[in-house]
Amino acid sequence: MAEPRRDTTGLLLLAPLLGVLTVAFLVPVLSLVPTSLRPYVAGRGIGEGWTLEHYTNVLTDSFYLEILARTIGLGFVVTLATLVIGYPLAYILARSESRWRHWLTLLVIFPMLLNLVVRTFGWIALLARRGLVNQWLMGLGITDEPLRLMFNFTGLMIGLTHIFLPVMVLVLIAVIQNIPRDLEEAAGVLGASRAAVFAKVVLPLSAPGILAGSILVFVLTVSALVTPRLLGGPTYKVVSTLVYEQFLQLLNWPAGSALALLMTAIVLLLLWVGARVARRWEARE
Amino acid sequence: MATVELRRLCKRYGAAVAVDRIDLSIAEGEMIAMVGPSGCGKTTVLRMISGLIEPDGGQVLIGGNDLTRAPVHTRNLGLVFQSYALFPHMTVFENVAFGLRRRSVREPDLGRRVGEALSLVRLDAFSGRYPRQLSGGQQQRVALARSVVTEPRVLLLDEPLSNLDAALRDEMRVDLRRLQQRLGITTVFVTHDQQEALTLADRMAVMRAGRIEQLGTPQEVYERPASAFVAGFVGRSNLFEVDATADGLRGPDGITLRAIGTVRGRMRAALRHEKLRLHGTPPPGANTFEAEIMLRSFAGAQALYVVRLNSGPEWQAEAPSNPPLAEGTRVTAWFTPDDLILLPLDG
Repeated sequence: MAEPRRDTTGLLLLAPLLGVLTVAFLVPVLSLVPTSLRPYVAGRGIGEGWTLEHYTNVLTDSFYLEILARTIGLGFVVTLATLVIGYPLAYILARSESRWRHWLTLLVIFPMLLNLVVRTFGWIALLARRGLVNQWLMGLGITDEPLRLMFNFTGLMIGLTHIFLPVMVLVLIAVIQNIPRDLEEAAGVLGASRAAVFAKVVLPLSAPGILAGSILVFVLTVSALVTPRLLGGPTYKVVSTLVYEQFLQLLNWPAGSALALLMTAIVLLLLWVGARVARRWEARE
Repeated sequence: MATVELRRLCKRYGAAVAVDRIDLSIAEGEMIAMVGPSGCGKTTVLRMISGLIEPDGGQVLIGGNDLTRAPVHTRNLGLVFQSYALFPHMTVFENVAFGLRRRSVREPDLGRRVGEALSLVRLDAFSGRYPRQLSGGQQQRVALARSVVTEPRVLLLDEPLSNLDAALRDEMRVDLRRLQQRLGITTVFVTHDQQEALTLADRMAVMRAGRIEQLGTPQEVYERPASAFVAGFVGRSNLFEVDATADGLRGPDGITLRAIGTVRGRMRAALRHEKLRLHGTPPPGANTFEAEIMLRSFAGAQALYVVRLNSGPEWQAEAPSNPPLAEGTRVTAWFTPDDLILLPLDG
């Protein structure tokens, strides 16, 4: 009767992590559930009784719906941008035999070593109305008027893409390095052009990395607070800045809780769909 | 099927010369083995034929056409990798079909040709499996089927049997030879295993430091090695130096030897282990020695002995293990003059 014992061993090994997650993550999140069902009393915060008004507000008010859509849209666009920019980079770094490889990899990671606020201020200096990018564009005569690159979707997209690019690249490097070079050579000898080698061999085999990197970047993007707050300013909001505002400026904990829980539910649903699609894609190849 | 011709083929890696002006002509349907120790450049030659490495100089001609600069995927060759390089995300069927699909072969031809290739390697029943569900030998056969299904002009094999265990290797060796003869396909294979080259190849090229040291049939190379290096690499030999003196050849520790051929000054000599005989009566004119068995190790039908000749040099001999000769036994060791291979001193 050795089988049941092995099960408890596995559980025991997982126990520390499960304990930490339960106390530090699951309990606080679940405690948001009752809060989100309380009415909000202006000036006092959480009121008495129960209500669903915060949920119905978020799901019917076009103000909230727009912010929700914007946040999820931003998640998709930033994920796609890091993937498109990061994949070639990761491929070159994973396949390079140059002695500069490690330095180049370090260069990719380097922005992560800098404080997030500093990096974001860097983008402000570049993207502001009188920032470097606009000065160059006007200096070169490409535009007459300064472009609006901040306090809008473009600004957030540029900033977040830059900040989360290293995450995507690191995940992809790890996966591409695990694809034996032999496989690409074998495909070539069998008559596959470079494009076919990529489409039929490299891309399907890096699908797990694409999925993992995309999930990471998407989740990080939709939950990012500092960068959207600084690059979006006080008026251009995403869900996380809205939640922040509800909790800490308006003391509207119930509405903030409802928003946070809704966002969590939507993200979990999207991840579930994404994982299913990816699994089917892998199975078909 | 096609001829392969290499003309003054060169490849350098920085200062190191991997392949040094190699010339080689391979006839249609011939099976050639490139053998040599690791780092001798044999794999580099194979990869230059396949197009995976671009030569620094010289030409690769296949079927009379200069393909030196042709991209890999246009050459229509088959290459079996040492690692097999099967696509892990595809079934056996899809692995074999890969090359056909690149050539736009469609059903029903596709299914028929994949089926034929798989039955050629006796894997018909496995077409729906994934590579990870196959044994090493089965993976090897899939790799073989995948590379011949497109009817390539030349089949290239990179250490095809080195990842298999001994019993499987013998079986695959027979399979491989049979397949090659049945398809009549020009084949070049690379191996560090001289036994593999001797048993499989029509001709073998023994490589050393980027050059072909000797090219010939296995029998020629085995019986008439061109240098001490070849004698040492192909088969097992006692290697020593001899001096020509007024009264014949003088070997190590002053033993006198008789050989065939003219000897001037100092030369190297090689004597195959199995040519140093410990049983039977020496014919007239043979080199004979009083010998003592120093060490005996059993190796199945043969036994390996270390013998001391005339209280002088210790040589190795390979003799039938029956009747056994115990350590310490005194025997007559002998070999005929034409068994002694004389080689130039350099190399």
